[in-house]
Amino acid sequence: MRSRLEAAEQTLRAMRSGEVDALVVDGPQRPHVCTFKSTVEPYRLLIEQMAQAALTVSRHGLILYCNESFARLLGRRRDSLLGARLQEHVVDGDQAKLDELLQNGYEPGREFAMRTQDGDLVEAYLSSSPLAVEDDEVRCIAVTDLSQQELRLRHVAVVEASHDVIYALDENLSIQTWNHGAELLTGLAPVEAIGRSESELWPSSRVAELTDLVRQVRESGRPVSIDTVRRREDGSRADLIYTLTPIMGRDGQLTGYSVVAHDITDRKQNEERLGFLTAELDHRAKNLLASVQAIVALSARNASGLEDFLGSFKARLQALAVAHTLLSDHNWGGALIRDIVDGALGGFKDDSRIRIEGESVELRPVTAQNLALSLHELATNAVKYGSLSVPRGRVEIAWWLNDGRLTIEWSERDGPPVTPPKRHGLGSRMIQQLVAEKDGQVDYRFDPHGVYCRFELSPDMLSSWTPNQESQTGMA
Amino acid sequence: MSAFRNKRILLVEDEFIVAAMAEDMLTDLGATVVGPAGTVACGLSLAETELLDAALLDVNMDGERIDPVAEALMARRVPIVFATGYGAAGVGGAEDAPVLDKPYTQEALVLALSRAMNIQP
Repeated sequence: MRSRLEAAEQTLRAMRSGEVDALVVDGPQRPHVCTFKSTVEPYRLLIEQMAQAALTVSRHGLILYCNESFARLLGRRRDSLLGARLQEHVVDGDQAKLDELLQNGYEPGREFAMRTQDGDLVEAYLSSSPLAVEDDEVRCIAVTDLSQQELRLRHVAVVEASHDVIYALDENLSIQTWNHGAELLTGLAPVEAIGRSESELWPSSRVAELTDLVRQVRESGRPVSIDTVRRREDGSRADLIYTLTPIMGRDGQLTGYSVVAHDITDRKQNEERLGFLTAELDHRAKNLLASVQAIVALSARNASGLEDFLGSFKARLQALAVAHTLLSDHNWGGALIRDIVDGALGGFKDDSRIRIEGESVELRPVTAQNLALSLHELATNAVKYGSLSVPRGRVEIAWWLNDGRLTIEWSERDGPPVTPPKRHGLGSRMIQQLVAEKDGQVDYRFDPHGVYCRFELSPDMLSSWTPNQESQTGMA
Repeated sequence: MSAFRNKRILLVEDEFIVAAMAEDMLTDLGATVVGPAGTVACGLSLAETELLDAALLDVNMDGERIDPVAEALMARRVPIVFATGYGAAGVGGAEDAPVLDKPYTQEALVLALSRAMNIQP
């Protein structure tokens, strides 16, 4: 046994070094002589060095020769494979297929699962052809590692399917490949783009940017990214992060570039929107501070003392807060007059002495706030001096639209006898302003039987706001 | 009492409570307030017809810009002070006009008006 093994090893060594021209292989009935008709050194070297795995086997699967690539594929030493049976390295489920491959003289190719030294499986594509020998006993098998092939194909598929723009340029910036993302952005089909110069895709005003970019990449030998813009096919503007990467050949010389461009239009728009919102927020905060400052100043001016100041200041601040909440609930698009009236009456809105009546009308944001504070003044005066200061008093608040103008009426009844105030209060001042100044009417009377106030709002103070519509306007 | 005594100053401001405070500030300085106007249309009408020594203008009037009023005033060479929560943002053609950042104090108002009207505070 040992001597036979030694003899086999000697034979194999001789084959590897090209010393044998023929081989005697045991067949089922009788030994066969296998002769290499052309064992010319260049062919041997070619097979030794090529990246593809290749081997020769006997018709029964005995490995007569394999190249280093085949050994590497299975993770084994080459000398451990020589003389072994190919069947040992193919999974059980593929044995029948392997027999067919070995029996048929010519087999264009089949997939096999092969087992490596570590027990891992390798998908491989085996094609067989009879080696030109005297009789039909030796097969020359080419092995393609499908796992590698698969990876490469997947790689190509990833690039092709990407919505990012990915393509290759040669060293003269001529377009060589063109993926789906590039087609989506530019509207150019591969056949239209390939062969064109990269500079043709740049707006003429930005070609200098490209020249500068290419210079930077050449000098540094590294990828360089810039933010740039392109016109889409439909004329819309696309913001891009554009990366130019140098591709080096084996000799270290620049052979071309890859272009990867990522569309950041949405991100840019979000950033702009965020900037707008931040500015708007700052603006609203400052306006609110201005309103609070005004409430402080006006309350202090009319207050008889600290208690009086605190009382009216807190109540006005509360009225402002209620109006803001209503507007905020509707994204600052406006507010319904009914909500404003209810809010201005605060704790009195469900009071049986008060009657509120009017159709649904929407007010612009600033008008809503102005009306809320005006009504708050009227309500406060009614509670302090007017009809709400006695149990039997009544207040009617009504509004109606007439020719696009909104008339609002406040009338008090059955209160204590009214005497006109010595000076105009804040409510009166604000109502004077609320009405449309040029042709608006205001009727503010301190009738002995109750305060009466009637005023009109012009159509431009009303809103066509609907609850789903986001505000585009600010407060000032 | 002050350099603003009897000066006629147009006040345009859409938030009436802020307008009322500004009116008090100007009145305290001895000025005569024209307005206050709560809309651009009303402000424009006053800017075109009233005799004016200066104007204090809110920039954003419930989403509408004050520009038409500012232009009418500039055509009549009426000095302008802008008041805005947006910070110092120039209004078309009136880049030199002082800008009051809201909320503002009476002292800041005096300084801005003095600068616009080119008088000693």
